[in-house]
Amino acid sequence: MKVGFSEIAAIVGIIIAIGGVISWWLSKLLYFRKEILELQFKVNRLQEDVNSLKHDVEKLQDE
Amino acid sequence: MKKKAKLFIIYFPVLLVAGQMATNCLYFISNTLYNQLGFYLNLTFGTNILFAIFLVVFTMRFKFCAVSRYAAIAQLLFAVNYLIVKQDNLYNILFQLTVGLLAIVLTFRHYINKFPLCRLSLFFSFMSSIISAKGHCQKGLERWEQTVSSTIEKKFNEGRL
Repeated sequence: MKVGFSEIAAIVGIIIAIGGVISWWLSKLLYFRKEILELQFKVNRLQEDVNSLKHDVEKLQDE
Repeated sequence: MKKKAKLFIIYFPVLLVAGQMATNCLYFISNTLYNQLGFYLNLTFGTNILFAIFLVVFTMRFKFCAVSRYAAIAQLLFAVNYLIVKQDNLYNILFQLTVGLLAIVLTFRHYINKFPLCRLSLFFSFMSSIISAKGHCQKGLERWEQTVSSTIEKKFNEGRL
């Protein structure tokens, strides 16, 4: 069976399309993960601020 | 609308290069179609030397469109090459494809470095983490998370988050 240029082009096109869909889906997942990491970082920073404020309040109460 | 117009101006040289490359690819996909439409497509996406110089100066002068600097340089190279070759032959098409591909790769690189937390950049950094972890997904993901966390911290400290 002779494989023509159009068949090769179709196969390459299908592979590129599948790869594109997988990449798009993966990039979406990675973006969600990045959003979670960003929120975690902000929560940790806020927690640090709260702890330091608590420490200050305790210090003032002792005084 | 104003934002979209600004985005169009920023990426205009990239659009021109991509259009020119698509036209050149048509030469290899369907020669008859290229002979029919090539003139009009080249007229649409091809540029003249003065406009190419203007694009280079514009992208060099204004920082907001620095991302498409390489595409503007590629346009100038296309124009200079056409000035030397003076005809639409295979050499010209191959030159444009090579230079255009290089310009688009450099534009991607610049974009990824400029916006490290965008989706495209996250995808490429994940792929490089997987490659550097020798295909180990778990290790790759851990490395990627470390990289992203340090970028987030850096951006936060710079006050850009």
